[in-house]
Amino acid sequence: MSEMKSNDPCEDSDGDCHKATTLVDKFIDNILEDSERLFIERHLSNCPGCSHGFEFESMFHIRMKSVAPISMPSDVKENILLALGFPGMSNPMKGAFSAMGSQDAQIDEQITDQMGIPKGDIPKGTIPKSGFFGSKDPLSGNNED
Amino acid sequence: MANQETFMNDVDPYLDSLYSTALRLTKKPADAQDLVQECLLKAYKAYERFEEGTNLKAWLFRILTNSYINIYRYKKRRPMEVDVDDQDTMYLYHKLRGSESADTSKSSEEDFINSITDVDITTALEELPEQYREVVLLSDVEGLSYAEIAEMLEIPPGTVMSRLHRGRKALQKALWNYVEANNLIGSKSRQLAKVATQTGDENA
Repeated sequence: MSEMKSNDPCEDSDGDCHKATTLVDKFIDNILEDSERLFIERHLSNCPGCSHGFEFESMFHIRMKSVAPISMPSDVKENILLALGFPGMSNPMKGAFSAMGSQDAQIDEQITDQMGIPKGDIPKGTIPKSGFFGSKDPLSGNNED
Repeated sequence: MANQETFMNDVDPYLDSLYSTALRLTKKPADAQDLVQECLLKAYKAYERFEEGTNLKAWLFRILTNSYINIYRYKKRRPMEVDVDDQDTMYLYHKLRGSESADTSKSSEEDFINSITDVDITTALEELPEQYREVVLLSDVEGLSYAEIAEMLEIPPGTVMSRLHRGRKALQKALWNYVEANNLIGSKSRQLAKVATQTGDENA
């Protein structure tokens, strides 16, 4: 990352600094229109204060993008996989449980031996058929399948 | 058409992102788990309708945000719109430049950005009103496009832009308030100075 320029203040005698700051979001998202890009490039090359500020905004934006995801705790993952263990999901669940290193041998066995067990014995987890909250399904528009 | 048999393998790379966003939206681990579970359940049921080759992450996040909106708007029983005063554009930059406690030397702003932690940012994010937190998370943390966010939240792209603009400013203000209230500006500068000194000693 290049070293910043000095903290020269903006005088904004012609109002261009104000106009430039209204475009800072489009600048960091790289969605400036051609005429806006031309204006910004020209202005930043002549205004050290704005150039410094825009560089700061770009660096802050990059920092935001680098915020690390929070790893899903293994027990949460296990609970979710359990809840998704409805009939018809055999091999993918087997792989998922093996990858998690499930501690619950009985449940693991029920899942991995699913093909030989009546469907009614397969654990369905803790959620009702309509989901936890009974909320409207955004994909189907229905509350129930 | 996607195959349900490969569902878990296909979505596995996105589980942490889904959980992170759910946690940062709901602020409660139990609610985050419920939300991700609801999302995956719906995604699994609809997976055969997912068109392979399109953006699976965006598709999953659409289901997640839709579930979040349905659940939490219903629970709260109040409108989402929260007014936020217009913030100074480039708020944090101007504050850093004007701070008496901060080092105002040449690259102090760069040092500040390098010294803030994910916890600092997450704490500031949690201070944002809901509709701003949503778009900042989806855009700046998860890297989704304006068009994708607009589709997820069922709002016009122009509204995404205006919420993002105000959300970013509100985030910078919240971050500034957080580091200032916890005296982190001076301590971060001192930490950086200490590291620089140690590095210099080692190189000497």
